[in-house]
Amino acid sequence: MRLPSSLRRVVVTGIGVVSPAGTGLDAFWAGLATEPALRRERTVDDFDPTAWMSGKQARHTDRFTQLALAAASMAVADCGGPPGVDPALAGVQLGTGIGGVGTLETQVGVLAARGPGRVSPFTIPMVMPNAGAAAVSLRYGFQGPSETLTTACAAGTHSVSAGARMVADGRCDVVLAGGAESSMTPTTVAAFTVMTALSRTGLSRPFDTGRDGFCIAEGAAVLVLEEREAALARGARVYGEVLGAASTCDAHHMTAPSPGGAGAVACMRLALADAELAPSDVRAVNAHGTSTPLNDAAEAAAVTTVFGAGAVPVSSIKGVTGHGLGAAGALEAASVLLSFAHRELPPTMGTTDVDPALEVDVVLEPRAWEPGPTISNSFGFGGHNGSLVLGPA
Amino acid sequence: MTTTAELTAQLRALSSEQLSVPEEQLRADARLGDDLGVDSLAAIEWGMSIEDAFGISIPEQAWEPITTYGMVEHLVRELVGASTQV
Repeated sequence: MRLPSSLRRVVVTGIGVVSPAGTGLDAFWAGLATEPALRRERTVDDFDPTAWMSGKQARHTDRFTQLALAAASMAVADCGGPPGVDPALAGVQLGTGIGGVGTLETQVGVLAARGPGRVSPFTIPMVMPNAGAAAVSLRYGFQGPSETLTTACAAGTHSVSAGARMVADGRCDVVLAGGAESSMTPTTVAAFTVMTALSRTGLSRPFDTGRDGFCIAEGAAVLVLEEREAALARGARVYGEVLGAASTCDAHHMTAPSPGGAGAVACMRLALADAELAPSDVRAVNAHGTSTPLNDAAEAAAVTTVFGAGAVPVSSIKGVTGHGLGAAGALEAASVLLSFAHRELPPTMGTTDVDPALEVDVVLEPRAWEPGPTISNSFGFGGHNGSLVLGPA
Repeated sequence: MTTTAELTAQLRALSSEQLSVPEEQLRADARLGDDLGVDSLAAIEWGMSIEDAFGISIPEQAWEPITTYGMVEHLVRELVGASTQV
């Protein structure tokens, strides 16, 4: 990261993933190249919260927090167990788009049916968007910063970026960073539907001529971020390095991207500058690629502006994962880190007929490659843009 | 009318499930916080489930001084008795 020379390098030493594409790293990676069922709502069907927490805790946590705890537990196990660091220097950055809206919707029903005296006393600590971060800090006794960024569908990317900065600037030695989302309620699905954001066909096909909206999803991903020298000293496996990041706002429209993806262009350029890289240094783009007509057109235009037409391979994993909103950026960062380990770019599943108006090299089949710096984009309603630059170890 | 034995058994089953503790831990002298892990929010939720199960209303001031499981059982017995006498 472009920071004063006193600042430290940040590496990823553990990854945990819960996703409709698969739970756990092997299943997730395999799932990214597996044709998903046609489903507009992509749930993690085999998720059992009591595998990750007591039944009592499961009853008192919203599903997005349950997914966060599962992903965090996997990430911590993956890095070799709870890190032996000063708890005051251990933090959590866990984003979400909407938080515990499922619990809120349930309690609205309770209120209507049975009156205010029967609304659960656990409603607020279950609904609040920071519940996931708090639960993760509580589990590991982390007493450093524990924060939740909510920037809609950019929250996962922004959270990994913010977590990396906390390690880079010395505030923390370890940060669990990522995103969690489970907000498919009858009301949110209806709301996304009436705004014509959701796919009618249940087919997520980023950058395809026939793309007709996103498939809403749940999931969570958590990365263990550590200061590089300490990680190497303890012999940790290093998946990759956080090289740079940026955050911008379109300040153009609440839900539509700015023309030509101008906000995304600015964000990607700032992220590259932060990483001290030129566009030609970038070996792949992990796209936001939601499969909506507007996002994919704006993002493709932005990628072409920054890197040149067809100059860099572009993958979107949302053909399989669907759109995990505030978890999406974290899931995608995980996929980038796994693409380093597997020396392969994940395909953009669901897509068969790339929109000829988009001048990007969309990866349609798993593609062998020499791992190199990769930029991962996320864009959220509100005009929030996040770009994260990851590099191989 | 519910017998005392039935009430005791029903309350134990309900409390065991609500508090996620085995029934054998629900001794009369078990302290709500230290022994049963009941914090203030869990106590409110538990109280609601008792009210629903027994069709009673637990006045806030009646719940406040309670510190043990035995005191809960005693209060519920009193309130159920009171409600069935009406």
